[in-house]
Amino acid sequence: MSGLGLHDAFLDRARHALGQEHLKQAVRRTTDRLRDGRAAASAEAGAFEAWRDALSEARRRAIGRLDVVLQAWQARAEARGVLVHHAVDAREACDIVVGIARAKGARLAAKGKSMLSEEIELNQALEAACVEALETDLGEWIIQLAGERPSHIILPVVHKPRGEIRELFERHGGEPLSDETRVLAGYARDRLRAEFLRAELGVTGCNMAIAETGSIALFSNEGNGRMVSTLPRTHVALMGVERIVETLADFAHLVRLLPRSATGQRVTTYVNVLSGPARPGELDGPEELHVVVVDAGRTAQLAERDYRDALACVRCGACLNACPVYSAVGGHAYGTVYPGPIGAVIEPLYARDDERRAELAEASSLCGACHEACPVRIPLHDMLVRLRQDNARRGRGGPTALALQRIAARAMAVPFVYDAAGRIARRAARLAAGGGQLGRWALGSAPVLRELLRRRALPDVPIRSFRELWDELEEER
Amino acid sequence: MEAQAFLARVSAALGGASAPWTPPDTRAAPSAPRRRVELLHLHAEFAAHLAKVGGTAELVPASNAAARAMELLGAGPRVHVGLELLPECVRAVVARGAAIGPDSDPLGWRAACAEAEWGVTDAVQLVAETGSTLLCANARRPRAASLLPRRHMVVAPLSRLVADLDEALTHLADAPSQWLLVTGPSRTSDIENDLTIGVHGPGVMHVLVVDEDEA
Amino acid sequence: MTERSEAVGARRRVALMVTCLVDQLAPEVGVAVVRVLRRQGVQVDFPRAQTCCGQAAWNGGLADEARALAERAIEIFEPYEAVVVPSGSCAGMVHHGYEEIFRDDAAWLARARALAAKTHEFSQYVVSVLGLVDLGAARDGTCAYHPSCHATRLLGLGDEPRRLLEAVRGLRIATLARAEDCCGFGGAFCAKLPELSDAIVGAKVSHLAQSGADTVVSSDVGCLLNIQGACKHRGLPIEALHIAQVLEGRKGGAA
Ligand code: SF4
Repeated sequence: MSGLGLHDAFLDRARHALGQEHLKQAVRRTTDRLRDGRAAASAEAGAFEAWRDALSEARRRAIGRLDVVLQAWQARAEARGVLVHHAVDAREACDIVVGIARAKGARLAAKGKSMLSEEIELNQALEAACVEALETDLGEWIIQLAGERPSHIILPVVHKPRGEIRELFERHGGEPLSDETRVLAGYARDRLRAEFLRAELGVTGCNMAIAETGSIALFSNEGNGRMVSTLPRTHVALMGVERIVETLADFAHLVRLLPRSATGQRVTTYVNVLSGPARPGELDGPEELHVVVVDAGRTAQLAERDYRDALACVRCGACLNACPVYSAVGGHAYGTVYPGPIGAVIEPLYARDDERRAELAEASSLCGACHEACPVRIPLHDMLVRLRQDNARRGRGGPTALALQRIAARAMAVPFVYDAAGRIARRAARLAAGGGQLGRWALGSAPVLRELLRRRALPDVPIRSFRELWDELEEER
Repeated sequence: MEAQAFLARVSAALGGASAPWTPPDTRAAPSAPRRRVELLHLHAEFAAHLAKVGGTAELVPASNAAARAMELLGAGPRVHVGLELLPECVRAVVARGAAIGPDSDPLGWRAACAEAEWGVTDAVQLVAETGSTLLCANARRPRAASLLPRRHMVVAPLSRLVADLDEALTHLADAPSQWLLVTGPSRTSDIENDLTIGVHGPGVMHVLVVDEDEA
Repeated sequence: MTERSEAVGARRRVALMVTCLVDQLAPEVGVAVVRVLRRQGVQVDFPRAQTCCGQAAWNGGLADEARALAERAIEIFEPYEAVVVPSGSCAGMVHHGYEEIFRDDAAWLARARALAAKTHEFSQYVVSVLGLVDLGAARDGTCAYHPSCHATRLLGLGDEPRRLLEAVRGLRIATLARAEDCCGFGGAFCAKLPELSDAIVGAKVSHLAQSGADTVVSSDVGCLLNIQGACKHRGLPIEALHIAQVLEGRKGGAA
């Protein structure tokens, strides 16, 4: 039974998710809350659409001349003492971070939330080098204790009920706790506080770099990102090569739109902008600030005209919350680091030959809600269609299924074939609806429809098509 | 990979090297200082937005600022940034007691911050649009004073109010080692979407806006 | 009344792009469109050579096949002064999808744009071109309006359908929670990922049930067939009607 005609791995995981009542409700509750927050924030701000235009333009402008913008950023960052590294792939990026950890004799790396770190699997690389990697964002820490992957790019544990979180913490601390949020968050605060002070290395992502001042910016609500970029002697920030704006004025639009699009907040609690390590005479702040600029498939995307605009993404998660598919099944069903519409677009692009990622292009009803929600107006729905074309061109989707679709599409171009096929199909459907053996057989021979018809009542299929009625309709005049 | 080779890949992906990048002109047009009535309006907006996210702001006349600060700070341990950065009227009160200032040695400073009930800082700007305080790090303004203590107090004169982010950011072209917008207490909604305050950063954020010109 | 409104559409002539879905599965919608337009004095032609606008092929990733269908549609419809489509989705295809298909072919792109400029979704045509809101229709009951994703997001259809419905005598319009949410149809999507489509339409059905409506109205037959099938399967007595069918009704009850 071939739903997608591809690997069906997505379908299997989606089915699994649909079978879990708690998960379904938790995901829906979260996405509803976040998109209501975004809707309220956009209605409240008179200039919301103008800001979207401005940020879209700023991101595309920076990406359109990324080479010189990066160069300008690097020159300014280095002038302020930042140590800039470049990694073409995940492996190189991990090697660089591990190298820094070794050079510093670090035993503990305290980490702020970073999806890029998930993407390059930095924790595994650090552990392999005998450096403990500790997630300190509350959600990420829970994920780490549970040995799972984030299911949302900004709220990694939307799928976890508090009872499970309590059990994880009890196992961790060996003491009974209550289910109260305050108690659970307090436990995390107390436990992680000591670790911040102990860690030799702080690792964060980078929400956006600013070329004008050679800076990197971190947005957060909890404050753990500030801890890991302030307390350890060495701070390493992982930056996707495309995460840059040119000016502070451009950055102001991000400050307005990223929180509003993500959670409906006017601004996150902390917007932390770093331009270099602590300067002489400064009492705290890291002695060294390293920024690792990571490519990992992004430059290839830059060269693909159909998908270049997806590099404008600011990772707000609004498209996840708006997506009917994400809202129904959550992030784990995608089987990738980035879920939802943006994941379905960029994950296949990061690994062009990965068939399992390729099928994610089908995980969409093409409703366009993602595009509508996106602060930088990325036409994700159009990109999903282009990815489907790439798949068809590569013969993905099963030769038979593809051939059948092609035949159907070509038949559509020949009126009498279209007409005859329509008559036969309608007749079969009517027979099936009436319980006829022949009709049943006819519909059953289309396994794809069989699944659908288990969940929908058959429509009342008409005997005659509109074109067959037209002559009578003309007489009505 | 070498920086040059890395950038060359980016240029190639773009279909050729881009024209050189020129930085924007950041010379801010000189603007007249705001009138008091404008500042009062901005303060009202600032306080309203900060309140929405669980922070508090109050406008106090300079004559009353010391008493108010003393009342809030109590007798618990506290840390502060360079006193000369704070409005004159509160310096004596902030410096009183067991406070440790930014002249301490780094390890002692960090430990003091971690123990402190209050961390007292100034703010370079107060942004009305978002209810944010803009803090900058430098030799007189260590970072941990607003991070490790359980509560964070910002003391700044009314004249530091600016209308919006655009205005605030024009002052940052010189790029201190760190600049930071702080808007309310630390928070998380990670557990079942349930908002809770004070997870890693300070759980209380209070802004004393000192009105130095009150007749 | 009749005389006055007939004057509105007099001397107007449109081609009906009936869409393959309406043609094959919901011809009564096409009939309703023709009758409503004729009542306003509009002369309706039906170019018989038409089949499909190419959307299904395009969304299925079959670029060449989609383009062949799009070229056919342009050739068939470009001689007419205006084109009316009883589907926000197919009108959206002409407006947005054709831009995508022909983005590298200036000659065809110009023809596609010329066609798009005169192609209107049915309620758009009535409200914006004819300038009519009250068509003298009447219907007892309560309806909920489901704005289809493609009508609003690809085509940019605004409040035209709502204004038309508000003018229908005796008809109450229920508030539909999260009306803008996708119904889970998505063309081949519902067949390729039926369980997922079912979960999505399930939310739509429960919002409909909560709305208290006895009828769901939309400008897209795909959504309507999907929602109706799901309602029936769940034993929920909600009728699904295209907006033209509601406007065709002159008296109480179903059209
Ligand atoms: S694609 Fe747009 S909506 Fe989705 S995460 Fe990126 S910026 Fe946000």
